[in-house]
Amino acid sequence: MKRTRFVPLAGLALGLLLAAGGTALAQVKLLNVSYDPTRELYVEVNKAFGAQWKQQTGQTVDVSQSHGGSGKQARSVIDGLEADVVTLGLAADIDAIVEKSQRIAPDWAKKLPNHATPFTSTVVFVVRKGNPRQIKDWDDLVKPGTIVVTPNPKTSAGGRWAYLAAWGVAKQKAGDAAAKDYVAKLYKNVPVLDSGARGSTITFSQRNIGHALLAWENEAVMLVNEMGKDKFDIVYPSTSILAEPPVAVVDRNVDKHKTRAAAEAYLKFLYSDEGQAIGARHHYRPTNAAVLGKNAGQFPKVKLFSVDDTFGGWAAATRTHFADGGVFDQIYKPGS
Amino acid sequence: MPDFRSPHRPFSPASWPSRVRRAGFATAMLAVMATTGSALAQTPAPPGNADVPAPAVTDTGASPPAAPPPEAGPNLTDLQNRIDAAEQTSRIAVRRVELLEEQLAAKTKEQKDAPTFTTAGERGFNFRSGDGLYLLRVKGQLQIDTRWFLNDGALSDKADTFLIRRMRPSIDGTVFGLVDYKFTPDFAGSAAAVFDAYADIHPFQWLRLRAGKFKTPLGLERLQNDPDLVFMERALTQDLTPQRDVGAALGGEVGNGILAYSLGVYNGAADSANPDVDTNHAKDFVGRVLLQPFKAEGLAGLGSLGLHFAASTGNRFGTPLSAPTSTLLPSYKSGGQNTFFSYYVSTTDNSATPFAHLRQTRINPGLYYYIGGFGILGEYVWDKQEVQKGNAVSYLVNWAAHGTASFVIGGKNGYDGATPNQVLDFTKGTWGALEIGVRYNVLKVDDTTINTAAPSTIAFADGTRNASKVQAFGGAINYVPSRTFRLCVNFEQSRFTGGNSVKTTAPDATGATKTTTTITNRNTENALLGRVQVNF
Repeated sequence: MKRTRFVPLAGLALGLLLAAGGTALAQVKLLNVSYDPTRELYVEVNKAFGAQWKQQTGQTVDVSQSHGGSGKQARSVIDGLEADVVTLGLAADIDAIVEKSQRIAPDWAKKLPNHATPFTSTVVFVVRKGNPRQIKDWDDLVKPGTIVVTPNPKTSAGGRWAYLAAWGVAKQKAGDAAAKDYVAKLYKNVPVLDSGARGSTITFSQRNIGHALLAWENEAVMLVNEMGKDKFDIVYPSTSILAEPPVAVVDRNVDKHKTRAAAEAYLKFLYSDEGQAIGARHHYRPTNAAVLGKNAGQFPKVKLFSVDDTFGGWAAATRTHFADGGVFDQIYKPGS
Repeated sequence: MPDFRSPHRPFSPASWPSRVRRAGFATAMLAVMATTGSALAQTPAPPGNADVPAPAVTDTGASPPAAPPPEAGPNLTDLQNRIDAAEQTSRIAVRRVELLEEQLAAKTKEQKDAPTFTTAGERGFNFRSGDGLYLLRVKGQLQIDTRWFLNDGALSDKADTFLIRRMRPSIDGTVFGLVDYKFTPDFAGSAAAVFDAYADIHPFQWLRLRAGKFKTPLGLERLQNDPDLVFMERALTQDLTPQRDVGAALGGEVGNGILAYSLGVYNGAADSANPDVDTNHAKDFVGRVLLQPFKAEGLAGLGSLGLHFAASTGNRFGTPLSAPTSTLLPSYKSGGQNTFFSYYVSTTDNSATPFAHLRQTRINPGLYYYIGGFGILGEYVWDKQEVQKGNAVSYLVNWAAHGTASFVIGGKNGYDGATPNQVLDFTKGTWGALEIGVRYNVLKVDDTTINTAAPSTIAFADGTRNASKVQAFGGAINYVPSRTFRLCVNFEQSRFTGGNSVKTTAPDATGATKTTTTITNRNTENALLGRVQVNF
């Protein structure tokens, strides 16, 4: 009698054990630490990648997202946030993780196409409907009385791209000295510096502050679509910057979590036709020429310059402009 | 759909914090008023000579005549632009407040989530958990002294010397936000000794339970921290109170500290003792109340007044043997740390050795008052000990008192010591504070302790070697560059009653030679003390 009672119990326990083990094996969890305006993009990416990964491996992938100012997010990873992948706004932020925590291999940019940049973007202007201030290009932003909203370039990738866009345009016209003068005038017209791009969008759109918002292109389009095309217009300046938000696997963390395969596949998915199409739907410019071609209508042509060409790369740009005591600290006086 | 609201609050003035709403409203009103005022100021003057002052208006109770319409009203577009600008100004102000609040909230969360905070300063090196529930402080106290006796004839057991007076590393802190702890050994003597080792559970301000080894609440000056004293050595009253004892005490503060109390049970310690264990089953009960009336609301300007009353009672079970227990009777030291009084110990006859037997009771009133740089502290200790010698039992009453006045130049005086207004900083030309103090202190042992009439017949102490009374006058000058560092110079003159003797030889009535011993006073002690003190 005792034996007959024991056998079913043991079988039940074994079954539960196997079921639990099987469930664990069939699940993989990833954490994507990203910058501010990519929330909606990665919600869709995660869903599509999850379906593809399930089909390919039978595993369920659960991708969590963390968003904030790009520099702040990088700091969190350096301080121990267990990201499996980072999809940040600046290459410099990934370089900072490499340098300060060694959690990412130094050759991260070579591991994926286009310097590990699946999508590009640029900086555009959002203005009030009808563009009452007639803001059409960069020079209009420094006119007296014009209020410009842009995030803090010390903490925000979007802010940094906007700053460099302004500098680069002015530099192309008259050199670095004139560029410094121009950017100083521009930031005199910036009364509020949010720490991230999403915060600036809220300052401009919901708090009704300012005549122009310097925004990522995707953020600008989404703002107009979300808040109403009757409220805002997008202005494409004649020249702007080629923004290249990069991605990377956090090597040390994925090895610790044993999630490398899924993490690498996740980033590669961004380069797939499906991933590129999702990017285009969220107004990121695809790097895949075919997908870009299919969506060319939604990406007006703008003359773009790169950080490498204009500033000698991110390391030099960061050192010169955004380091403590750098040019930005010299020209921007809070409250002035 | 993108969520432009996250992570911020939705845009709705009603949802803003009231402070933001107030700030925004006020700013908006100010801006609009300023703009309107400005616009009105630019409104063309009424017809007439602008230089001619307007006629005085007499209030007749009737409605004033309508002002004549301006020739040309303000440009509406211009006015609209000004209102728009004012609105922008107010919105920017509100947004800045919002951002500051967000930064503050983020900072608070960051601090809360942070594993530890490390700080260093006057209160030692602190490690605190992000939630504030756990704290570890590493502290230290080092006193390097020198003692010089200006009349060497007074020396009995000490020489001019340099010495390490105190060398006390200390750790204290909090666990679970509820229990404080402290551990302080002292390595300055020939053997390391534990001075503080206790846990302090404090669920409420008015109720805390402390258990372990710590200062009993006897001795107002004793309860001051060593580094905070005006004089390098405590007054003679310290001879009649224990240094530390082991036990448990309930205490707390009520009325925002106006009344503090402590009531505890301890092993029981002889005067000036620092025991670790009890040698018998009897325990001491020690209580104290401290009234600080100027802590009442509105009276802080009157200074800091503390009225202290403490008392203890308990039984001692000494023996004339040196082991397993001892006589449990104390020795007393002068300001120069010379022993001027000890009870008699016979190495050959136990019946001649007095020992503590049963009840010891102490009563200790005292007060302090500090205002600005000025301060006084005084107290009295009455100490009654039942002493047995042979089969006879006597009650010996010893007492001591002191009064200390001090003044701090360039700083604030207080029960917690002198605090410079500005610490020493050569670059700023600030020099810390100078503390000057004077005191009178006295200790007297019971008259029956010493047989002054026939010194060779010892009562409880040998009057030819032990003074029955000492009065001391002292002065102190302390340079206090910061609370963590001070340089001290003290001088104290101690005058003794008894403690020495002369023998005279003369023939008696039968013509035989007779030697007579007469008690005289021990030589006056003039002690010059110096100290370098570091504590953090």
